Amino acid sequence: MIELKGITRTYMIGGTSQTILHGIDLKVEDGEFLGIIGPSGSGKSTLMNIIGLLDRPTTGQYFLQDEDVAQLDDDRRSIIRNQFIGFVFQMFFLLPRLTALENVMLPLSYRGVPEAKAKEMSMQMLERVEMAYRADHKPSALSGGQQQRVAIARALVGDPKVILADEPTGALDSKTSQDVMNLFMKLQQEEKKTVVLITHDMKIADQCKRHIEVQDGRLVQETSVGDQPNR
Amino acid sequence: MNYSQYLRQALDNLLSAKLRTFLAMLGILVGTASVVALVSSGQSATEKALQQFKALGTNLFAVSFYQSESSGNSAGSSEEDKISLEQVYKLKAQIKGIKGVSPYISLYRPINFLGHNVNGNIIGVTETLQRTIRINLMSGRFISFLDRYSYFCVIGNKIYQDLQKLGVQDPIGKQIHLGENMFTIVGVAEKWQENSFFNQDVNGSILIPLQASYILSKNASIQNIVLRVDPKTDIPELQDQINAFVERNVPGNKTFYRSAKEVINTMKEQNQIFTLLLGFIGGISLLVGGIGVMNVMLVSVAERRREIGIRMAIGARRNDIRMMFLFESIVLSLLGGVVGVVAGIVISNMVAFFAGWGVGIFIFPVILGFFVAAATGIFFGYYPAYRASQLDPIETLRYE
Repeated sequence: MIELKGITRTYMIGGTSQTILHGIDLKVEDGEFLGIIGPSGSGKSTLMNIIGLLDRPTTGQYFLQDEDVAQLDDDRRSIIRNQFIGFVFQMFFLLPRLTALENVMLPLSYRGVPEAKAKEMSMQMLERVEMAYRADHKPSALSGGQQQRVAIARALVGDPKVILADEPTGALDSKTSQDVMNLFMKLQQEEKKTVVLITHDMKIADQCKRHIEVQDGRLVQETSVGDQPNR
Repeated sequence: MNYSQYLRQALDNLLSAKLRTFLAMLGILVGTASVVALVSSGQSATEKALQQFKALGTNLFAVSFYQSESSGNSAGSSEEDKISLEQVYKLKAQIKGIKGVSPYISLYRPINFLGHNVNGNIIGVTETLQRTIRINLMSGRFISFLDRYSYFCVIGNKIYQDLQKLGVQDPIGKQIHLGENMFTIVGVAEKWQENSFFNQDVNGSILIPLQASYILSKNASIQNIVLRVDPKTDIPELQDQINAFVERNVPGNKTFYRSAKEVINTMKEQNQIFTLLLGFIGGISLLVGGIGVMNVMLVSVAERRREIGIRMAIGARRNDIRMMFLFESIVLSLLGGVVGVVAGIVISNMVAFFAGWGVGIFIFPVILGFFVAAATGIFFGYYPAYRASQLDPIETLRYE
């Protein structure tokens, strides 16, 4: 379970401080599929970075599985990222020199999983996303949708509790976007993952069970599935 | 990640930028090669210089006598201050550890052969000198114990060549004027290898029996002795004993010593400094190579910011990132080091070959080469690796 309490984030830019997040309170239950929407510059990416332990909040508390992780040291946060969180990015962010399989294996190698075992687990995960037949290809030889499938496999291979997806369909055409979304929702249901998905696309957001809107660093609206959002 | 994974990762990354890797490696290669080549050459030169002493045996010990000022000027030195041949033999008999004595007297007298002047020195010697400083004869015989006051002489190789120019094919039995006296040539020496324990050049000299020197010059006196000593002899103690002997028997003399051990040690010390200097010069080029590695690694870190961010996001610790880059620079430097050591050995052997020194592989420069190459990789790779590890993952992952 993810629980944020009074999270603020202030950056120092050229001597003046700028507050991006103003006291965010948010609870995400295990197995939930949450969408975060908001215009660019609203602070939703910063919120995502804090949830993903890539950034530290200036003030506030962040409980992940009932542990306050807001101010842990770098190494500890790396380990939590490696074991509890899987990232999916808009630009896929696969390492261009590695093959699809090697990309998927990477989180396991940082965890110290023996290579043969890591290969086996990664291959299974590539099969789940229907990319096993491209295991030996470099990302440059794959289409955008295929790259994102590999990236999803990489996010899931370490069996994390939480998947954080930052505009996962932002770089894809609408048909491919829907394929990727379907894959997401299928895996989320099968694997009982908590998914937090950032998007500005309402069609994508509507597929989430619940979505919240961020504006100027504040949560302004919370919509559960079944409600019709005001548009 | 464990070390073998870091290593494989480093190799993969280096192979993906072949030209850059090669150029950075080249800097280390040249640096290591120059360290190895210069230090090896320094060692070959040392070996070569020590060779002649080792060939002579390290058991030589030279004593020179100088009359001290109080006992009159050098021209009219009193008879009791002169060391006689008998006293030299007494010295040998009294001091344990002295196995042989070869006293000699240097004289300067005009040399004349059949009306032609010949340039050369005259040295009064005893029969033991031949073996002590290794004079090989081309023909005839050496000065013998029986010659004593006889007018016999052995000519050095250069004198022999001078006589050849005067049309003499076989000088044995020919007579030569030394000052006022006629000497019969009984032996011809081969070319003689210079020896720092004997301060005359045998090649340009005419050797006569020691006793005969006293006939040629009233002022003749034994001023040098080459001693053969037991290798186990303690040199300072030997010097004390000789000083005491001189004090008792010929008090007007001061002594000056040269031992093979000391000369070799001095030479070794000098050559160490020389080799150190050469190594330092080689080190400068390695420094330049190291800066090249650092430059390449910094560029690599800047280019791979995105990769660093991705790796951090999926769970790489700062140490993992640091090790990734550190391994790359170490692998780079070691590869350059290996090839550099080989190149250095080849170069130093070529130098040794053309300089006429001994060809061979020295262990020390090889170990030194590997060590400094690895140290260069760690030293110049650490800062770029540290920089990479301190990057902020959010910064590196921001969309551009």
